[in-house]
Order: sequence, then C-alpha cells, then structure tokens
Amino acid sequence: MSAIYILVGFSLLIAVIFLLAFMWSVKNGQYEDDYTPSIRILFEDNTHHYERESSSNDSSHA
Amino acid sequence: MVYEILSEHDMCQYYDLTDHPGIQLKKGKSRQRFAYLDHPKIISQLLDYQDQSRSSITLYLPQIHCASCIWLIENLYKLHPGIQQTRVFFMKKQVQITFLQEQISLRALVELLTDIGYEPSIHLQDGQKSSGRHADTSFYLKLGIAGFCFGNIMLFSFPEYLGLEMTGAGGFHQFFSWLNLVLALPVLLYSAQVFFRPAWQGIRQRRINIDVPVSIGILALFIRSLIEILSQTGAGYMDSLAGLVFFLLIGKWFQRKSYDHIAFDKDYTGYFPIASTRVVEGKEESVPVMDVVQDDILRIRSQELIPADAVLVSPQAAIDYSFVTGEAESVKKIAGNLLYAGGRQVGGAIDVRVIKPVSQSYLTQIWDQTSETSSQMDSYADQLSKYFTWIILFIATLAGSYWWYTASLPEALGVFTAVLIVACPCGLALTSPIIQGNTLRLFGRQGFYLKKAQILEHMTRIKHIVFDKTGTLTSKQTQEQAELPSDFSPEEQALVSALTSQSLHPISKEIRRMLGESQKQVAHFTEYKGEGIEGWIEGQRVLLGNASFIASLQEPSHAPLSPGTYAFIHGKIIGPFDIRHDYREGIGTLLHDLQSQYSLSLLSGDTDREAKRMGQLFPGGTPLHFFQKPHDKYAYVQKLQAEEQPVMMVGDGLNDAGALKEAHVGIAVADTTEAFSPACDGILSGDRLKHLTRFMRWAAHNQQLIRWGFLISLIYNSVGLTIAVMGWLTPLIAAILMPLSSITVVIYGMGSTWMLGKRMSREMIKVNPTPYSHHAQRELEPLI
Repeated sequence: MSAIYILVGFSLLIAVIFLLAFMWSVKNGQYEDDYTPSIRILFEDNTHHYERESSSNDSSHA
Repeated sequence: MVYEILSEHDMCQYYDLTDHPGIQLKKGKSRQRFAYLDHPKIISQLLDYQDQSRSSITLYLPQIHCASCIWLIENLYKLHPGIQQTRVFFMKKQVQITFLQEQISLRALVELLTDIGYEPSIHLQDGQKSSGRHADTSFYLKLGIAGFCFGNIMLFSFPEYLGLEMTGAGGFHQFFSWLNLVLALPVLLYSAQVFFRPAWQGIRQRRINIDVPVSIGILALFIRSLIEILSQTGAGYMDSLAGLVFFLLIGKWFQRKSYDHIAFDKDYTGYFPIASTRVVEGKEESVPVMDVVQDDILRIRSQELIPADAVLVSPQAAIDYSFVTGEAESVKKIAGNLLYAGGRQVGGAIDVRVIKPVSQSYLTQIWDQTSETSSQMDSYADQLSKYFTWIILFIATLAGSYWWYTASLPEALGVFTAVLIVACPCGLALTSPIIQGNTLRLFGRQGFYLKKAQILEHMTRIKHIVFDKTGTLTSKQTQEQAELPSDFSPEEQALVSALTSQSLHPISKEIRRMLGESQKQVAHFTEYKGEGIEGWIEGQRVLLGNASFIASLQEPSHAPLSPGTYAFIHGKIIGPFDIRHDYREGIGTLLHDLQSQYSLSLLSGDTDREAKRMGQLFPGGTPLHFFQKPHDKYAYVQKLQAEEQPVMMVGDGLNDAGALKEAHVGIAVADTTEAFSPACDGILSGDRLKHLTRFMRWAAHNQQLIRWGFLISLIYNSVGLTIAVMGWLTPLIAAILMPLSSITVVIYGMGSTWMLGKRMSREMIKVNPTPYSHHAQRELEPLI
C-alpha cells in the first residue's frame, strides 16, 4: 500500500505542472482576447514573417 | 486609394474575405493634425515600450469591425518594412504594433493607418496606462488556483466520503488530511483575498457587506478543519472550503466581465486634443496641450477645440459651446473677448492668446469641483447580509450555549462553528453577481452599456428622472428632414447645396444635409459674417442668408420677410428654411410613458427659445429649467436627492458632468460608444433612448429574479442550519450541501436571465418592426 505515497506524489506533480501551464498562459495574456485568435487561424498562411517576429516580441511587453 | 496601396503589395485577397469590407474614408481632413506625433515628449508618453531600434505602441482603432480588418491590420508589415508586427485585440478594438523607429516614425505609422481607413483615436489618457490588465491577470490566477486545489482536495477526500477506515494502515487518513491542509493554504491565503479585503474595509467603515458573512464562514471552516486535522479528530472541511471559494470566485467573474473597451471614467484629458498648434515668431509648431503656458499664441483651425482659457486675437470667431454649456447655437466673439476652454471653433482658423494653463481652465475646474462627491448606495445583498450576519451569530451562540449546557464544551464549539460554516451565504453571494452580470450583457446587446452590474439595482430605486436637452433629447445626427420651402426646384437645390459646401456655419451644414451633396463648382465665394454667404455657380449669383440680408437685395415694394433663412437665386427668394434641432425619435412617447412612474425634470443650458415646444413635449406640470449653468444642474440634482428622491440624470455634455456624478444613476447619451462622454454610470446609445422605459422595467424584473434567488439560497441555508444546530454536520454532508446550493443558484441564475433575454428581444422586435419609422415626424407635427 505504500505505493500510494508515490502515486499521490506523481499525481500531484502532474497536476502542479498543469497549474503552472495555466499560470503561464494567464501571464502570457492568452485570456485577454478570446475572439481574435479564432479568426486569425482561418487566414491563408503566408505569414511566416509574422510567426518569426512574434516569438521575439513577447518579452518586449512583459 | 486603399485599393492602390493594397494591390501594390499583392493583398487583394482582402476584398475576397467578406462581402463588404472597409468603411468609408473620411476625406479632406488635413494631415497637419498629426504633426504632434513628431513631438518626442508625446511619443514617449504614448509608447508602451522602446529600445534602441524598436518601439511598441497600443492604439485604439474604433473602425475595426470585421474579420477582414484583422487580416488587413495584421498584415501591415507588408505595407511598410519598418513595421515588424501587429496584433489585433478585436473585442477591445485595440492593436499592438511593433515598429522600427528608424524606418517609420510614429506619425508615418498613424498616417498609414489613417490612409487605409483605420484612424487611431489618440488621447492623453492613453499615455497613462491603467492597471486594469494586471488586476485581471491576478484574478484569473486566483480562480485557477482555487479550482486546482478544489479538485485535488476532493480527490483526497474520497476515502472520507466513502467511509473507508484506513486509520489502521499507517495513517493514510492522516496523510490525506495533511495534504488537504497544504492544498487549502493557497486558497485561503491567496484566492480568498478577494473576499477578505472588502470585508475588512467594510468593518473598518462600520458597514457590514455581503463579504463579511462569507469571510466569517471561510475562516470558521478553516479554523475548525485545522483543529480537527492537528488534533487528529477528523478529516476537516477543506473540500468545502476550496469549493466555496471556487464557486464564489466564479460568481465574481460573472460580475467582472463587462465592457473593457468603453471607458466610463474619463476626465478632461480625454476630451482635449493631445496637442495644439503654437505660433512662435510667425512659425507654427506642435506643442503638447499640457505644456501650453500663459501668453502662448495658439492657432485653432476650423473644428478644433480651444484647449485653454484664452483671449481672441483674430478679429472674429464663432465658437460652438454646445458640449460645454448646452447652448445649441454657436456664439460670435470678437477680438479681445475671453474664450473658455472646451469650445469648438466653427469658422476659419483663429489665433488666441492663452491666459490660463489647461489644468486651471474653467472647464477643468467644473470637473474637479464636482468629481469629489459620489453617491454611495448599499446593494440589496449588502442590506440583507447586515441582518443575516447578526442572526447567524445569534443562532450560533444560542446553539453553542445549549450544547455546552447539555453536553460538553468541545461539542458546543463544534456546533458553533458548524452553524457558521453552513450559514455561509454562498447562494446569497452568488445570486446577484450571476443574474446582474448576465443582465448587464443583455443590456449591452440592446445598446445600453452599464459600468457596473450594481447599477441595475440602483436603477430600480429611481424616483426622479432629469433630462438634459441639447445632445440628449435633440440629436445633430437625426436624418429626419426638416421641411423644405415649397416651390424649390431640384436645380435650385443643387445650387444652394453647392454654395453651403463652402461654409462651416452650422446652419449651412444643416441645409446641406437636407439638400444632399452637390458637385457644382463655386466661384467668388464671400462670407458676410453674421449675415449670409454669396457665390457664383455656373454663372448664376446665389445668396443664402438671414431675412434682413436677403430682404436688402430685393425691390423695396415687397413685403418684409419673416425671420428665418432664405436663399436668393436669379431675383427669386426661396424660403424660409425651417431649421431646428430635431428631437430624437420617440421622445414624446417616452416622456409620457415615464411620467406614470417617475417625476421628470428638464435642465437645459440653452436659452428658453424652445420653451414652448418643450412644454408640449413634456407632460404637463414638468419643471422646465433653462439657462442652467453646470453648477446649477449639479445643485438641482443634489437638492432632489436631499429630499430622498433618488435621481437618474440623463445627459451628454460636459455641462452635465457634475449632475451625472452626483445622481444615483448618471446615464450619458452618446451616438457612438467611442465618442467622448463625461464620467457616468452607463452609456446609452442615442437611438435607444426611446426604450428607456423598457430598460427601467427590465431592471426591475432583474431585481425580482434576484429576490427569488435569495429565497432559494435562504431555503438551503435554513436546511443546513437545522442540521448544524442538531449537531449532525459531517464533512460529507457539508461537501454535498454547499456545492449543491451553489449549483442550484447558478442554474437558476443562468436560466432566469436567459428567459429575460428572450423577453427583451421579443419586445424589441415588437416595437421595431422596421428599423426606421416616421413616428417621430408625426409626433412633432402638432407642435409646430
């Protein structure tokens, strides 16, 4: 039965990882606008330039 | 022009995205108006971020309206190499742009946006970034953490729910309890702050609000559980604690979701332009409004605002003060006259000499003077919780002493805390946020934007409604046609319209709107200030002016003309043009409907020349006040409220700012939500003013729904109380009872507001079978 200690530990660990992912997504501003991305995904994808730039810019307004 | 820019860059795809992309471009505005964006001080105030090469700015683009807009703006980098990235926030109509300042200046960027039809609306307030975004982030985190802990604690409480006895095997029981305790700590210390803080503030002000009993419940839950876990006498109620906080936070979340893109608390900086043009030694330069000092000479172009109190230097000016004082007609000024800040120049460009800096002008003072007081009202839930808290403490003490008397002290304490736990008014605290939050969104769908959900409750207590005239009951944008003179051929109409296109006088503009645009060329245009205008069109001399001006042109044998505006073409007099400010559609019906339930008043800053029409429009006996200064309006509302008559002020201009703030509910009427409106509790779109009676009725209905919700949660509370007083409360019962009551209330709240929404759209369809009716015209006919 002592396996339960380990299992509980793992389950908590995984849950905490998801919690951290959630916290990251909030801080990253993913909840600020929940409408635009649903439209953005439908545009023709010739915007490689944009993809590249967006990653380097996230730090700028953090 | 937009098409050219786009096709150059192979972006014609834009036009395929939706059927009607783009909005009409505003033509003919001078590019000079963006000159201030070259000023380094202004730039640094507007930018979010700047380093050696890159800058980032968030701009508000009111024109964003469809998917194509997002696509076009997010592809801005194709139009200019200096733009690195653009990101649209559609709901807020904001765009965040990162650009290389060496390749494209802020001014060039704004001009580019303007060229493709998205003119940013820039105000000084944008420079002072609000902390709203940060607060929002921390709220989501609190909600997320509470949810996380709630789920995990429930999981570890399962052995307890199933009644599994595991105390023998090395104490899993205890292990899980300890885990629950650890998981409950962030909920208590971080997430529950949302309730502790207002509760503590309330207690310090000797007021009991709904957060007080909630906080007592949370603390009782935690202390009781802590003692049980530490003394190893039980499993504690950590699951109920986390669940309670989680559900209550969801309720708060409903209440918070409101209109991010509408700013309700605007101050004067939002009204003024960001910069003005200063004349130094004959040269024009752009200067931030805040840097304007005494004795500066400013050049105010046509349609620009005067940013500071000043003395007129140019020989003549016509100033439109309608937004500041409520006077409908523009005021003539001559050199040496004092011009108050906030007026709009309607003639040609003028020069003025500043006598007071912006922050000390007359207008700013109206603002500061009135913005100190704000009416405080307890919400229904707060009033209820006042009694609730004392009753609960009384029952808890009574039950505790009974158990102390008949049993032991530990059992008495157990019952005491159990009462506090069960009585925690989670249903009560959830009902109004959910119902009000949903109704707030329903109102928004009908064109009525409220600042806070609580305003709905205040609306139901209103006894007296005060209206402003100019801009509120009247609209400059109604398309309703005033009567044209008879015997006026289309040919002549085109001539007069062409002539008026040269003049900025309000009457000229009004006549042009009635007649429609004309493409004819005007030669030798002359403006006789205060009398009329003259021009040659297709070889014909055309004049337009007041009665005495036109009468002087004709043969003396004719009878004198009645006052009004006349046109003179080829020896023929046409007129008079019936110019008046049109009332918004349906105002007469609205006022008569409101009269049955509320007292009404009219406060107008204008002269009493429309007193007779107003008297006919308003129900008999309504107090009508004219020549009201901003302070008079404020004092009037204050007087009514001192007589225990909660007032709703409906206004629009700066002259109403004080009254709007002082009134229990201040509603600003605006034709577009991005148009400037003074600080208020709600913004009502102009064409929806006629539905005010309906909005008031719906608010009352909403209040009824909340009462039923309170009843439901009180039933749950009394069931729980009975269990607690009997000493039967176990963690399992608490874990079932508390979420059950919360969920019932949530389902009830969602369902009932959904029905209310259905009812709203049904009533709206009934009264609005066609988007435009001639009802208003018929209504006004007997008045003329």
